Order: sequence, then structure tokens, then C-alpha cells
Amino acid sequence: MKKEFKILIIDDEAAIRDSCSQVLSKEGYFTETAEDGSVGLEKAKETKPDLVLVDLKMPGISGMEVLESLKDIDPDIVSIVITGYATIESAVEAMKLGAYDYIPKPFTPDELRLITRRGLEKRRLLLETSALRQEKKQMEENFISLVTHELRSPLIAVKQYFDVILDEEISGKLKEKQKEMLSRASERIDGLMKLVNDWLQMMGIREDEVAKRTQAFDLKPLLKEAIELLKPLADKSDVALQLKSLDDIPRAYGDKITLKHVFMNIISNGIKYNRKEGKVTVSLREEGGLLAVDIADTGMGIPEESLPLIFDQFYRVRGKGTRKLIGTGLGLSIARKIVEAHKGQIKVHSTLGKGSTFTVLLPKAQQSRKQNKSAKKVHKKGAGLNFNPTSIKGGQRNE
Amino acid sequence: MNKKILIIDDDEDFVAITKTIFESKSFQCVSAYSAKEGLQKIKEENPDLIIVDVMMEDMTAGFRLVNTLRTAEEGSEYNAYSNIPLLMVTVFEDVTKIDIQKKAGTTLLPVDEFMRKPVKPRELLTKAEKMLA
Repeated sequence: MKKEFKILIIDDEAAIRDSCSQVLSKEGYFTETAEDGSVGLEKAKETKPDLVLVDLKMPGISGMEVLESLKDIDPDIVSIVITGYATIESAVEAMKLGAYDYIPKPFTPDELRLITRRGLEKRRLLLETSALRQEKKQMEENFISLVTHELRSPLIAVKQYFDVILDEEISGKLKEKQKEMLSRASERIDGLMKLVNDWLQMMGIREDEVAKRTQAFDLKPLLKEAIELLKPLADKSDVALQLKSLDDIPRAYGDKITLKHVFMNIISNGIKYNRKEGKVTVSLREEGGLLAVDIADTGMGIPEESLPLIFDQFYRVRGKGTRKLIGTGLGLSIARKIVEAHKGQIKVHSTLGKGSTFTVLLPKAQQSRKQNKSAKKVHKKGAGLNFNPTSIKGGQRNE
Repeated sequence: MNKKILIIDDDEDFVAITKTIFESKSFQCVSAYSAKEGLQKIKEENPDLIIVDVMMEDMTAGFRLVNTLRTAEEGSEYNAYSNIPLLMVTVFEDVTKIDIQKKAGTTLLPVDEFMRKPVKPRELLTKAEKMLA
């Protein structure tokens, strides 16, 4: 089935509007016209056109501004610039703002037909890509809830049976050896459950979700809370926890829920991989326009050859000190994924036998908004320069 | 008379485990494997305590059962049962991004207690005994 494409023509010259409309209607497209930028944008919002022809030089809102606003209405809209002054400079400028192509005045009906056909081909590809992306997102979401239920339910049932069998008041006396083996089996199930949970969490971290919850907040109370929650673990391991911070620290800009998870993960690592009577020091400071949280432990340290790998999924440092510790090898990769979703950075410095220091760099409240905005613009410019269909692929991979 | 507990869950293992736990303390147990069957059993058995799962026939079957009971007005067939203590259990965790634990006892989740699976046998017993007291 052939889709009926909608084309909007924005030009202050009635003669151009009418002739374009006439030529394109005959080609079987649905056309609409607007005599200036603001009317054009109104109509674009209403009819959601597939392709827009925009005159660069108009009274009122300029063609350049129209181009920018069109992308906000529909990022996949294809716009073609009509320019009376066939200067390369203004055409290049328009392309940078996201125009797909340009057509210099005066042009013949054939030229118009050709450029429109090419523009609509591009539109078709963009729509297909966006539908695929949507489908992929949907599949991911369904997959997560399926895995959650189908994978966790049997594990939980097994775990419950162990709990009941191991409760001698409920199920009766067990032989010492049986009890030992069942306890170990139960621990292994715990490990597997943790792995499934961690992995599901990893799949669940999405930049858009994080962005939705992003706000300005004080890091210090959050760090304090993380430390308090880990106090029982620290006491059990005979490790002291300490928080150091300057009084006058700017607020951070981020999502408290996921960031708390990051800090709890790194601090609990600091406790787990520490020595007896060791300590974990958390300090808050500023570094190069960002906020820095250092988490320093006095543990066994990380071998140099392992350092580049510790943020990889499922990587665990093997050694006699780590063999007995149950871990999934996902904790730090989740932490990095969260920090990177904040446009932050996570670094590590370690000395064998002395300890490791993890540093989390996060944007400050005021600054981060500006940073995000400029980052967005850069991205837009990049997208605008994608002329040929093969470059869509590249964009897709970046998602 | 021993107190009667109704366990509503589509996971047969969970029902069997929960039964074992309560029967060890001489409670009387009855079971249902869907929200629909659960509502039927409530009328037939008039239990002293109900343990209900969230996800059964669909994602929110348990929530609807709870609401049907708690909002049953005079004249409704469930009115006589609208105050039976309810303990809700679920495997759901972070996916919903809502901390339901904190919502227990509010109008949003009008149950008396909420527990995440796997539930610890001892904790389950303590909670149930307290609710039945």
C-alpha cells in the first residue's frame, strides 16, 4: 500500500506557493501552504506533514528558525530549503540546522519533483527506522517483565522450600551433614537470585528514565544515608566508615534513586574487599567544575592488569582474597552505566596491598542544565548532516 | 477452634510451602489458585486471615481482589468479609519503581501487611499471628 505523503509549503510569495502546490498535488501528494513562518508552524503542528518546503528569506520568523522549530514538532520531519540567494553559505547553514536538502530559485517543476521524491524516500526510511526503534524498545520492556516473572518465580519457590526445610521447628530435625549441604545450596540460590536481580536492573537503566527523575539535590545527606544503611555490614566485617565533606558544597544534579545505588555499591565493595579493622572513607569535594565523591578503602587493592576490566560486565578479580566472596560481577558495570547516564564519570586508582579509591564525578546543579543543552545542540547538528541513507545506521547504533 | 487462613496464589509451590508453615502451628489452611477462585472461597470459607498474591490471572488481579473486598458496601455480597485481615505477597521488586511496602495500609493499597517473596517462614508466622490476635 502506498502511503499518502503530506507536504507543507511555507513561502511568502504566492506564486511559488501555488505553483509548488499544483505540481506536487498532480504527483498525488496532499499539499498545504502557509504564507509565513508562524502560520507554517501552526499548520505543521496540526497536520504533521512528512515534508516541508521552507523559504529561507521571509518576513517575520526566519526560515532558519522555522527549521529549528520543525525538529521539535517531529524530529523525523524532512525539510527542504528554498533559497532565492543561491549562496552556498546559507544552504550550508540550513543543512546544519537539520534541513535535508535545498533548491535554489528559480527551479523547474522537474527539479521540484525530483528533490521532493528524494526527500520523501528519506522520510520513508526515517519512519521505518523509528518504527523499528519503537518495536525494539517494546520488546526490551516485555522481555524484562517476562524475565522478571518467569526467572524469579521458580528461584523464589526453590528458596522458599529451602527456608522451610531448614527451619527445624516447622519441618523437623535434620542431620548435621544434611543441614550443612542444604544451607550451602540455599546460599547458592541467593547468589543466583542476586545475579538475576542485578542483571534485570542493568537492563532497566535507561537514560530517559534517569533524566525524568533528575533534580537538584544535596549529595551529603544522600552519602550519609548510604553509609548508615551499610553500617551493619561494616560492623560485621569490622570496618570503620567515615564521611568527610566541606560545608559549602554546591548541589548536584541527578537522580537520587540510582545514584544512591551507585554509592552503596562502591562503599559495600570497599567493605567487602577490606582487611579487618580497615576503613572506608567517603569524601565530597569539587574537581574541575564537577562534584567529586571519593570512596577510599584500605583493602587488598586491585592488580594493575585488572584495572581496565573491573567495570566490564561479569568481570571479577580472581585471587585468594576474593574466592570466598559471593558476587555477580555486575555491580560496577551497573554503577558505571548509571554514572554515565548522568554525563558523569567514574574512575579508580589502586595500590596493591594498600587499597583502592573510586572517584565518581557528577555535574553540579546549575551547570549541568547548560551542559545538557549544548550537548543536545551538538547532537542535532550532527544529525542534520546525515545526507545519505547509510548514515541512518550509524545513528541507530548510537541509540 | 483453630484459626482459618486462606492462601490465594497461582503458584502451587507457594501455596504448598505456606500451608506447611502454617500447619506446623496447627492453623487450618484453605487455598485458591486465582483471584476469581479466591473471591468464591472467601464467601464459602469465611477465613480469619487472607494471604494474597498480586500477579495471577493478570498483572494486577490481586490488587483488584483487595479492592473488591475493601470497598464492598452494605448490600454487596462481600460486605460481610470486607474487614478480614489481608496480607499481600509479591515477587515484584524494582520493575514497578513503586515502593509498595510503604503503601500498605493506605487507600492505595488497603492491606494490613505486605511482604516480598521469598518470605521468611518465621517472619510470615510472626506477622500472621499478630494479625490474628
